[in-house]
Amino acid sequence: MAQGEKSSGGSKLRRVESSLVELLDLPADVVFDLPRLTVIGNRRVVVQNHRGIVAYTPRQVRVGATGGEVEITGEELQLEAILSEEVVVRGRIARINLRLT
Amino acid sequence: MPGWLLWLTGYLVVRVRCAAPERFLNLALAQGLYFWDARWMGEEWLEIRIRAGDFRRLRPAARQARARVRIRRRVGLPFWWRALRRRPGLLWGVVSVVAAVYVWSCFVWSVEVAAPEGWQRLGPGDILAWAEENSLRPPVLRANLDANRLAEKLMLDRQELAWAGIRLAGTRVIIEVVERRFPDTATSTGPAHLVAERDAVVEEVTVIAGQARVKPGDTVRRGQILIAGIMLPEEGDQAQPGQGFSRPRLVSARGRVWGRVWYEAVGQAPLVEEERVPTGNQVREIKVIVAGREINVKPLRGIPYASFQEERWWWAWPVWRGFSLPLAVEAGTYREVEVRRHGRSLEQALDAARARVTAYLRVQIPAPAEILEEQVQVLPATPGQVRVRVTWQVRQNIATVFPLK
Repeated sequence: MAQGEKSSGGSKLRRVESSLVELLDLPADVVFDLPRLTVIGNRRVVVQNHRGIVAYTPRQVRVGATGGEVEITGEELQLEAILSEEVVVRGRIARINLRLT
Repeated sequence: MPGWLLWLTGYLVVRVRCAAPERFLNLALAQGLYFWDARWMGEEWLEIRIRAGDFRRLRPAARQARARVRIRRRVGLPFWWRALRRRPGLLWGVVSVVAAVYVWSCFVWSVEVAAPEGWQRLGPGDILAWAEENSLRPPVLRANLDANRLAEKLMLDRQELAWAGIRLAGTRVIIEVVERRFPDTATSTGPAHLVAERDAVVEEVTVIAGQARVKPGDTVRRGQILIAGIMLPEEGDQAQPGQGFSRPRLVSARGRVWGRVWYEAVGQAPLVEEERVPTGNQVREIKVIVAGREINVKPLRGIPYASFQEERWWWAWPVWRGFSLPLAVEAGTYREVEVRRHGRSLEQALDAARARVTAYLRVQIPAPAEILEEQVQVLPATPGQVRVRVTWQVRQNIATVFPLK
C-alpha cells in the first residue's frame, strides 16, 4: 500500500533525524512535534503540541498527540483552556498515561 | 488572557449537547476558535466559554457534529453596556449616583476632635469653636483646606496646646490636639494643707476652713504651709482646767491666698530674619509597597535643591471587616524653598524677642491672674542676636492643695 511505503520511508528518515537531533542536541519536542507536558502538582496539566481532544469526561481526559495520546485520569476534571497550541486540564489529577509509540 | 480582559471584551457561557462533544470541540478548534472552562453539567450538557465574537463561527462545527448549542449567559462589559443602553433611565441613574458621590466626597462633612492624652484646660467644644471661627465648618470644599497651615494656626492661636494636627480622612476632618501639661490642681476631699505653689509675697488671705499661717506682707517659699489643715488647740483651750487634753483636729483646708509672684523668662531673636518661601518647584517620588516589597513607581535621583521642605504622604489599604490587602503607597514631595534674609532694626528684633517671651509667659501664669508690672531688660547676646529678659509681677492665687495622707 502506498501508505505503508510512505510510513517505512518515513521511519528511515526518522532514524536519520534521530541521530541528527542527538548530534546537534536539538529539543525533541520541537523537531518531532512531540507533546510537551507541564504538570503542576496534582491540580493542573498543560499539554502543548496537542492534536485535539479525543475524549472528555469528568474522570478522564484523552488528548491526541503525535504518535498516540495522553490520558489524564482523575476527578472533577475540567478543561480550563482549549487553544490550538495547548490544552489545560484542571482538577484532582490521579494519573497521567502516555500512550505514545 | 486574564479574567478582567475577557470581561472587558465580553464572553458567552454556552451549553453544547452532542453525541460526540470531542468531535465538536476539535472541529471548532480547527476553525481557529478557542474555549476555556469546559466542564460537564450533568450527563448531557457540556458547558464551555467562548469569546463573544466567536459565536457565529461556531455554527459550521455545530452543524457538522450535529450539536445543539445554546447560549446560557452573556458576560462582560459589551453586554452590560447594551443592557444599559436599552434602559437610559438606569444609565442616567448610575451616572448621577456616581457624580453625586463624587461631588459629595469633595466636601468635608464632619469635624472631629480627638485628644489622645486627654483634656485639661480645654475641651472639644473649644477646638470646635476655633474651627468654626476659621471657616472649618461643614460643608467645606476639601480642595480649599490647607490642613498644615490650619494646624499651625491652631497651635499659634491656642497657646495651651503643645501640639495640633489636622488630617483629612475621607469626608471627615480630624483635629488631634495635645495639651501642655499643667500641675494637677484637683481638690482633695481628705484632710489637707494649702501650700504655696511658688515663692511669693502674700497680699491677701481668705480662710474658709483651716488655720491661717501667713499674713499679708509675708514672704513665702514654695511648699510653705499657707492655710494649715491641722487645727491646733487655741491658747485659751489649754488654759481651761479639767477639760483634759484637747487634741488637734484635721480638716481639709480651704481658702484663697493672693500673692505677688515673679515670672521671668529669657528669649532671643536674630537681627537677620530668615524666611523660607516656596518657589513652586517640586519633585516627587512615589513608591508602592506590595507585601513588604517596595516598587519605585516614580524614583528620585537626588533632590536638586539646595534647601527644601519635605512632605511625606502615606496610604495603606484600609482594614474593612478585618480584611485588608498588603498594599501601601508612599509618596514624598520635595518643595524647593528660597531662603530670604531680612535685616531688621534693633527695635524690631527686640520686639520679636519680647513677643516670643511674652507668649511663653502667658502660658505659665494661671487663668485667674493679674499682671501688675512688666520689666524688660536687654541682655548681652551673641553677635547677630538680641536677648531680652522679661519679668512679670503677677497677682494670683498661690495656694495649692497638699493632702495630709
